[in-house]
Amino acid sequence: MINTLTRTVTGRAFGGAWLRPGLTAGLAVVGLMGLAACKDTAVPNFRSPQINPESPSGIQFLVTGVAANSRADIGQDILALSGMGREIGVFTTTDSRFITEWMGDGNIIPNSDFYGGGGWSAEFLNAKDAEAIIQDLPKVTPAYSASDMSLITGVMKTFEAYNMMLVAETRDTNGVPIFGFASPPATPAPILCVKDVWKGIAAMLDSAEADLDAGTPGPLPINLPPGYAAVSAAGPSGTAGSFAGFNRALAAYAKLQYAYATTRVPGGGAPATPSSAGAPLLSALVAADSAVHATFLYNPGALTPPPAGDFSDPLAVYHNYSSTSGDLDNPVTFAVGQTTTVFVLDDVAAEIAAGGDLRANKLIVNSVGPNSEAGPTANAVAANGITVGFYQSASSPIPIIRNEELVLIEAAIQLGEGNLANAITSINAIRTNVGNVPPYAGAVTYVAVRDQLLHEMRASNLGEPGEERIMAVRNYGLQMQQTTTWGGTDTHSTLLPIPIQESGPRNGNITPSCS
Amino acid sequence: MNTHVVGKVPRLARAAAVTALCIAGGIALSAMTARAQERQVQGRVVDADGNAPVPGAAVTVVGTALGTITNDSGQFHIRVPGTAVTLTARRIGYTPRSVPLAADQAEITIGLIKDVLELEATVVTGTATTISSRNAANAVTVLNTDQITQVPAPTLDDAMQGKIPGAIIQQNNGGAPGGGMQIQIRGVTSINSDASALYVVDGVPVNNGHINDGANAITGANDNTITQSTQDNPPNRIADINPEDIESIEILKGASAAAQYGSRAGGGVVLITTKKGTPGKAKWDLEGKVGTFKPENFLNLRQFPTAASAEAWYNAYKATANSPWDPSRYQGNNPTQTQVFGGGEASYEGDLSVRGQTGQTQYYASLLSKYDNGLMVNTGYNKQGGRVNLTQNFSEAITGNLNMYFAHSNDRRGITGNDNVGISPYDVFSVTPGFFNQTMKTATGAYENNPYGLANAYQDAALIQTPEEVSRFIGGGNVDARIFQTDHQSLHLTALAGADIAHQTDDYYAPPDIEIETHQPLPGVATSLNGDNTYLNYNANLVHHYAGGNNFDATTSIGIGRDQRYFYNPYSVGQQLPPGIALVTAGAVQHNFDTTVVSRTFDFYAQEQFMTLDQRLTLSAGVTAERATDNGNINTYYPYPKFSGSFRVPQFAGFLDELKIRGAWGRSGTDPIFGVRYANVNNLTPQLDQGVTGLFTPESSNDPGIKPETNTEIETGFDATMFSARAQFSATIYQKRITDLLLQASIPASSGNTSQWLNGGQFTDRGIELSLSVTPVQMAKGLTWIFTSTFYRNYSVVDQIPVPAFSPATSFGPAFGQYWVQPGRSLTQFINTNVSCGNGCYEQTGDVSPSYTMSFGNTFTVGRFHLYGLLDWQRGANVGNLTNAYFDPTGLFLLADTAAEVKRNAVNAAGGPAYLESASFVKLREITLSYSLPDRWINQLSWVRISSARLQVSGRNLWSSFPYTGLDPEISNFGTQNIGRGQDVTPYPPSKSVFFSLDLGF
Repeated sequence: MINTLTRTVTGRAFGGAWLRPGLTAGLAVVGLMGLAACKDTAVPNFRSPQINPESPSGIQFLVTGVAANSRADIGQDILALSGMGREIGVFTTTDSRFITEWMGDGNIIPNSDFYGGGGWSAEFLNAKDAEAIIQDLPKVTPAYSASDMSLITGVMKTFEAYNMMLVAETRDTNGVPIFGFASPPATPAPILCVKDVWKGIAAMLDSAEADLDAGTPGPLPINLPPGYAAVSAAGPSGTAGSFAGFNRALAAYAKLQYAYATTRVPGGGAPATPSSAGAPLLSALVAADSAVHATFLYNPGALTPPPAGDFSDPLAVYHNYSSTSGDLDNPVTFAVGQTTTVFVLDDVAAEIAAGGDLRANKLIVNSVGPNSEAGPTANAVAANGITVGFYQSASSPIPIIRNEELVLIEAAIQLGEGNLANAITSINAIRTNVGNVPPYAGAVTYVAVRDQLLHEMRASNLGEPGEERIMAVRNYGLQMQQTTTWGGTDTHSTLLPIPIQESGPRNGNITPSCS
Repeated sequence: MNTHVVGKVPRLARAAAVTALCIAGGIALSAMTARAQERQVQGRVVDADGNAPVPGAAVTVVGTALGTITNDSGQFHIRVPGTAVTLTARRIGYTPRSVPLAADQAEITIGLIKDVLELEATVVTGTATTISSRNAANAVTVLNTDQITQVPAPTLDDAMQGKIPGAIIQQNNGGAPGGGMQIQIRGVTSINSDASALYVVDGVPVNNGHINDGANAITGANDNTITQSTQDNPPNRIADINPEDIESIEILKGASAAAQYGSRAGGGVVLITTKKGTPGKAKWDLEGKVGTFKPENFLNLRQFPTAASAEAWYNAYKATANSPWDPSRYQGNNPTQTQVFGGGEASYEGDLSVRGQTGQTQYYASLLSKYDNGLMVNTGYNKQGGRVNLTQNFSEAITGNLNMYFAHSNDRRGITGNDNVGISPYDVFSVTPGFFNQTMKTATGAYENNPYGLANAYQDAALIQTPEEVSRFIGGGNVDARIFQTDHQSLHLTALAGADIAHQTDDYYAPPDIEIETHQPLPGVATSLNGDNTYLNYNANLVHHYAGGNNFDATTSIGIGRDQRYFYNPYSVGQQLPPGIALVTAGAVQHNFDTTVVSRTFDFYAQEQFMTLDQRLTLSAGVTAERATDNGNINTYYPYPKFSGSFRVPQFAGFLDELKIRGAWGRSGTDPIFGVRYANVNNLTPQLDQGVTGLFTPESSNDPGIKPETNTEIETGFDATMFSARAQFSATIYQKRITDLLLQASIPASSGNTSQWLNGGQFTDRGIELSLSVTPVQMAKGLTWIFTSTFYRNYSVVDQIPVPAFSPATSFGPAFGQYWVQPGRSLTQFINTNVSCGNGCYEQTGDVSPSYTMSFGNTFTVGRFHLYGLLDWQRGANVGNLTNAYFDPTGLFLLADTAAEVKRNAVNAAGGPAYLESASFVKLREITLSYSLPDRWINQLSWVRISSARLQVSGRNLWSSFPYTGLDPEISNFGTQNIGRGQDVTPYPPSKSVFFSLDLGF
């Protein structure tokens, strides 16, 4: 308490025994404050839209969310798989880890924050959200019809499988707990081996197809983003516009991978070697072939050369992007002079330089000429000097799957079944109709047709997700041969690690288990 | 009321019952106390050394509630009982003194001896109660105005460095003007919630947060996004305070001292008391300072003294068939770091203040204008402040205080730190040889493009604009009404209300035609950021004091408090701009973001403070019950009790003046951060997909039942005053145990969530604090030498967690040290994930926290000369040096130490912690030499009425020594972090400063 000048404190209370007015006023203020603060009202969550997930409008928002967020890691998938497949080199001048870790310096990619969650967490989140939608469907008011519930369930299961496919591509033989999104964190689902991963994904897609087929043909009861315009209807997979067609397209890819995955685990068929075809699971190849032919998206007769600029294949499903506020940019444009540069490796460069193949037109060649980028510590990048961009702009769509890719899948199925002539037929459909180059005229042997298929995969799919080439390289036992640019010391990762956080609840055991 | 108290109901009820009994007992005793015959006494309090009057001294009658304050002439009048009594006089800066007053004595003079070591202070014990530091039961550090201001500091945080045992105060990301620091008191107190210290100015809790300024839109530091980022290097807002306004700073280091602040006290409390009016006529003070900031350290870059050396390097590392060496490439051996970060521009500060009294109003008013130059081209910090503090005596029973402060600042901090586009200057230096002159311009006046990198660092510094403007008002008022007073007791009602309202704007601009932007897909960036922070709070208290002689002194208080915080932060980014316009709306691509946060707390408390045994034994107990809107159940009260005791041992050794043994126990908490309480389905992220809005659930799973974590602290120690107050040694050991942790624990992402908020687990901080103050030499007219030293060691260990070991903060990978929360290990350890010891265990490679810190201060006063210096020493922490990792992998060897680069590359290739380095350092934090001009010189200036004049030269961080190969081991790329500090990514260089000042009193 501050006083003025010299103050004498008397023994008497000020203003009599009590400071009555002050006391009254003070207590009144305190009382009012106390009363006013008896109970608080909840603070709204200003950061989140508030929806009713048990309403059709709420379901619609969440369905779109699953589709939209399935784009989250597409850029990384393309770069990682293309890099591991030794088609491209990714260099970013501001982050040495792209060179020392991603491109490989003789070590496996370390399990750090930088990579651990990449191509993993968003996919499981999407699958979990999709599963939550399925679980909420019976509670929705006004209630969905049985047909509508079945259709939405089929769509969501397809998205679950699609997201698990994205994870499976980058983890390969490290395995994936593909049913993790339905398991509590404390008792996580087992990490399945590559065989069971692809088998499980194929089964998810088959289950989804059954749900889709149980619905009434017509418009889907939910709207999907514009990238799914080609598959926005309910109906059999062979019907133009049916979502089941998308399902089957994915199933064809998954079953092809399953067929070869059986050869890559103990007890399976003989694995392929650089000189032999191995023994992929025939029944899976047959199922894959059925799926290819079941989808309306597969139509070799409709193949056409790629247009200049962005893809616009009507027989395709896309991730769309936009630079509009709140949307995502296309993550792999790589215009001239940007921080991250994508070099195509020597054998790719040779193909581009050879010219004539119209499929090269979709690549944007940014520069040609020697470059001075240093390579990884133990390796040196050959100075072929061709840097590319994959897409025209931040608003360019990226295909999820399309007709040309399905034709390549069909060729791979036929190759696996040993039907080399059929495989060549598919290869030639692309070469003549898309690349405008002469039909294949090489030897009709497994090795020759396989190498030709690998060439076509690169020419058709470079810069697209799916990355049939790295998948094929793995399936055909060719990893260590893709070293023409990087030299004999080019040991590098061909898969991403299981995130470190998966280890603890599994008592440190992240070795995949096989049925 | 739909409220209930959880957990500790019996304890809380007991505390309330004890309090009620004390109040009732006190009032009953007052009724029994017969009023003795009284008499009037007059007296004077003087400085024992020279008989100068001591105004503002408190004179009390021991064992009663009677007291008064001396006037401008040191005089006082007081009514005392008719018997013989003892009077005690106290004044900050003097040792308290008690003198007997005989029954027939009517006049008295009390001489006070200067408290050279400043041992006497008033310590806050509750919302409305204090205690003398000689009776305090906690190790509370008090800094006075001289300790804060004797060396000019960029911000208040700088001024506190090295002076508080128990606190680590460090800069975040280099020496950018305007501040950017963090304080951590007694170790980590939360892993995932906001555990920063609470700042309270004149009783008003104020904002020391930071608003990320949006530099990320230009740097892409956060994964090439354009959102605000923790890597934006923002300043913390206590920088707005004017240190010259501060009378004292009191640091309550933990729950045992600060439980009255409830859930806000987990990280400690910094109580700032500003200067108030004083009795007597107006006294003016004018101080002018001129100086400069210069770089404290640079990296040792490869030099190119001759064209031949440049050519040799070029041919070895850069030449290709198409780009052979060309002599025109050699543009001299350019000091690239100095060109961009040279500093040296003049800085200045002007402070004008007045304090005095008119009528029944005492006043203090001040004005501040300062400019701190930046080291980097086109950076600097301009601040103006004004304060008015009024104290009004409405009557003998009612006083009021009104404290108002307004500050305005313009800060330009430049673009440094982490980036993903190649813009940060040290990123540019990592690929650009010094023989390219970045300051050169072409014939058209444009800066040369960098043929070796993506950016010209000098061009960026000169042409990118980073203005940040802050306007801030901090105001508060309180009223103290004495409801009644008798000889032995009094009852006061106090009420306080305060507001802290700040508005910040950041309008960054990177022109589309500078080189770095031409490499972007959308060249040209303009941002528009607004941040509105409003803190509103009030409290009301009843304080009853009973003084029943030397053996019974009881202070009882009860009260309520309310605190509301509101934050609104819209942020827009425009990209692909046409030349010459810095508007977001001119961007071909525009993105908008905003954030709103509202938090409210309400608490009530009761406290009893009791002194007996001739005031040698002090006991205290109290409890605060608080609810908060950030908790899962917003109407649940969480109790925060505390108990403490101190005993001043009677003198038992000749050299020992007094030995105080003390101990305290208390509990505080830390509330969840905003948003955790909302169920996942109510916490959705919107995302557009070509015009269609989708919503998805958060990656981090929320917990609608979340509650505060609890922070239980016990401390004990002693204070020994020796050799006639020529020395004091204090020792304190403490343990902080944090339970019910607010964990954003990483969980297997395959479950669909990467992390999960939950309460659970426990970690413990244990530490020791030592402080020594000695006056080895104290000559009446000659030399006075004061030596001070502090020692602090803290160790945080994880006791248990209910989830698997997890990473609590972002790092850049094992080569740089990865954080890892793992039972049995240091909470702040660095690990190498490449070396596993099985089942979630990894090799420990370092630690964010130091083994210990020490400081050494020396003050010499001879006549009118005054010399002071403070040495700050830290030993044992580690830093991940990502800056070196910009240089090494390029293979260009642009650091001078090529062998070290080769070695690091090898360690890195082998999976080792190649970039984890020691963060030990010794720094000369402060040094100053001042000279007070003789009165005869001053008197010759007859045209102005100057009463005192002092000349001073001072320096900050003028010398340092450390093994670290980066710019400065005090670094935190991610800003203020509980754990995730110690990452060095191409920062703004640290600064040192020299200032000359003239201080005039009128």
